[in-house]
Amino acid sequence: MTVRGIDDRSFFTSMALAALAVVFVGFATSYYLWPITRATHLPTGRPISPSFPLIVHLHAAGFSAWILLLLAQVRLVAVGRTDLHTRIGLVAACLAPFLVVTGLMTAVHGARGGWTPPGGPLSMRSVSWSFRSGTLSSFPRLSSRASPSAVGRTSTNG
Amino acid sequence: MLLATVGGLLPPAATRTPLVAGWPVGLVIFIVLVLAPAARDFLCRAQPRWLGLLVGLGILASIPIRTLVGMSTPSRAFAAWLVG
Repeated sequence: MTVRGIDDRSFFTSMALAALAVVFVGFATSYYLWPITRATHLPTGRPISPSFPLIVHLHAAGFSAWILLLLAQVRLVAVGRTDLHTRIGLVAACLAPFLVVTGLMTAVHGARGGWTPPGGPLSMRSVSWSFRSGTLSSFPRLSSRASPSAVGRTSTNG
Repeated sequence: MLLATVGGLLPPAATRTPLVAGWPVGLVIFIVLVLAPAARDFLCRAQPRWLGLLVGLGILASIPIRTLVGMSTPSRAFAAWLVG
């Protein structure tokens, strides 16, 4: 559908690419490019985890897969492959609980290590934890709109 | 899926982006992305979709609310128990 020269395909592809860019740039220093940067602090001054236990890798793999899945889903609709889009949507639905669990476990693990932003005393950790858990708890509610039954609506309307 | 990803998963990445004039540049992009679908609807469509605007504003409004909840005594106690 084209709305005053801005078609849905371009708009939602741009949105997905922007989300992908923010995720990559945001986690480049502390994860994706960490073997190169070896940074100890984020640009905001927050400490970076000195090690990457398995839960962090699982968390990163799951969330990276979700972002790539988002881009793939948008493009599949753009090229008219809604059948494949629907099938992949079922995989995404299975991935969502995994993201919530690994996200919470990583947040708690980070708080114990003192590197979950802002990495301060316990009171600040709890604020951070609450923020993160609030973030994660809002995700399933929002992502439920992307259920296969609503696939056509959500994939084109966001 | 798009709003779920942008609203639910992007804030941690956005707050880790490099600073421009003292602000994480990703945070500005995050706000733009949350409101972009609604803004596009209002600017370009004959019939704007209010749901997109409400969800976008709800996501933004939830950020200070989460912070307030996180600073409450019960939340701190629960977090302390969880962190151990």
